[in-house]
Amino acid sequence: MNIAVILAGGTGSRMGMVDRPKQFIDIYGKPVVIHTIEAFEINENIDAVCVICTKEWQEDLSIWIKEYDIRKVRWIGDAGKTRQESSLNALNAIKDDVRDDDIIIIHDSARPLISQRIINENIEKVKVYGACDTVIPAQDTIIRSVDGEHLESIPARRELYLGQTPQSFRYSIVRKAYDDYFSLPENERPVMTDDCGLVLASGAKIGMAMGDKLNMKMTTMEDLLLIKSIVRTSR
Amino acid sequence: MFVKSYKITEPKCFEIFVEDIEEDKVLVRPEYLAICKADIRYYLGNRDRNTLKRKFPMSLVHEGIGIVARDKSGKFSSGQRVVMIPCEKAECDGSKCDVCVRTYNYLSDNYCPKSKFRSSNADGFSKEMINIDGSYLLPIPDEIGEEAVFAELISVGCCAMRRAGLWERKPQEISVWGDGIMGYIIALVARFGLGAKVNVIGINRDKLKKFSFAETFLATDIDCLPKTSACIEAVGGNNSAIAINQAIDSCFSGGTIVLCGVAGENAPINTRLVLEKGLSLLGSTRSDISDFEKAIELLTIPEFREKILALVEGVDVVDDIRKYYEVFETASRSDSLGKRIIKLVF
Repeated sequence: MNIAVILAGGTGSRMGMVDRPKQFIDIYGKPVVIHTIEAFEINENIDAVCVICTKEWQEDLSIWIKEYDIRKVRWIGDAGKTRQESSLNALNAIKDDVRDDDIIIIHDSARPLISQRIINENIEKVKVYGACDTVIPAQDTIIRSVDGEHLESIPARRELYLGQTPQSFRYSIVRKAYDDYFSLPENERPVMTDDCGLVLASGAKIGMAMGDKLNMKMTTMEDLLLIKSIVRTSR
Repeated sequence: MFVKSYKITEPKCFEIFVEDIEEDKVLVRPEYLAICKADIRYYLGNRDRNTLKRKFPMSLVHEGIGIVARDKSGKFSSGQRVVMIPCEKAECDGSKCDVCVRTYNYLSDNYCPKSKFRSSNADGFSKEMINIDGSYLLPIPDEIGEEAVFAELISVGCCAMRRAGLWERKPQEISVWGDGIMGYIIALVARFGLGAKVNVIGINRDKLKKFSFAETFLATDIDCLPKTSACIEAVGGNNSAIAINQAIDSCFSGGTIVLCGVAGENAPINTRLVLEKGLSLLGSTRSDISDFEKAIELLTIPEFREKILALVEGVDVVDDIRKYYEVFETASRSDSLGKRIIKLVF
């Protein structure tokens, strides 16, 4: 079974909107999170979807799922305080229904322009490597600075990629990584910004699926403007 | 739902479009496509300027098969392979036209001026996902592979037989003018669909050699051309008139000539002989659903499928717009009998 996990627990503080997180903003009359779920809903390789969001938005989410006739969402789980907690909650939500070799595809709800190719490539890479990250080659020169004032180094661009989502794993691999991570005392857990960081730390090998510039993350108001200007309505 | 597509915005210029599409019908992911001459005319800008301005931006390609992503009606299952029929009938009762084509049972929605035909007056299949009426989808039997992409061309051949009443008449012998892909497919349909002896008249010796299932003739050997009561012209372009007039010369009195080629200019034809012989001339290029059904039925015949597979010159995976340009450049330079197929990946 291939299960998509949509992380929609963010608060969208960088958007500046006070009444709703970014993933619940409407684009052409439909919340961003629904646009994102739909990309997985229509993929013939995805069997089920788990959505993680804060308790206060779960009723709205359930209503939208019904309104937009989404049929693959089988679990709605609670968001955690951190991304890692949210992912763990997703793994716990599905744990009674999955087998070790099932594939878990974890995706940001704020990336609604995900393509079918990326989803399929993630699944194929997991079949080969057991884990997969979605990346695009760095096109700008990346500068490293420790203090934010001075340039520390300029890493070789050909070795650098920008990480996107989905990040996908065999259930057994991501489960072990999360169990290892959360078995550490809270103050000893390394700071991680994504799921692949944890899986990499657990010693697993991670393959790469080629992402897409259009698979951008809506983080700021400028990103929302960009996405809205990219999407044209054909209705 | 956000869907990506390639659209032509001016000759030799494609852009990526992301659109929010309706999803009230069946969602299908186009998988294998084939470029036809009409697509190349748009790509090269070989139509008058105002026509192009009126049609662009538009997704090209109307020959394709796809995979059902979602059908809320339950008629199709997710993952099912289907032939996508490129015509969509107009929501029209015919009351606004002088004559409604639907009153003629031998014509189809494809002849209604209000209907949509993909890659002509509506978006074609160069899209991540299309929202299509389920009545324009036909399941593909398991034994048929990506060669099903030729179902549209085969349906045009089947349409010629249907319109000329040849399925019922079952003539013993048919002559086909044209050594291009359309001539090849029409000749195949006549051979395997009707079981007729097929004569193919063309000008390219190398291409004619590939018509192994037919007897072939050079159009320049005027005195040797066979005489039959059923002739089909699939030449088109600037040689249309020569082919049509040869068919008029070769057709027995009372016979039928089906015109399937798009002439480059107005074709001067020998109407005196048409009248003298009492010939019927019939135009046929627009197939309907029954023709597609017949095409799929023919594709289940192993010998027929093998001959269609011979047309597949390779498969190009198109997973970015640069490769999309490349396949159009290659197709626009190609003079071969077969085609390269596009595997579309968005």
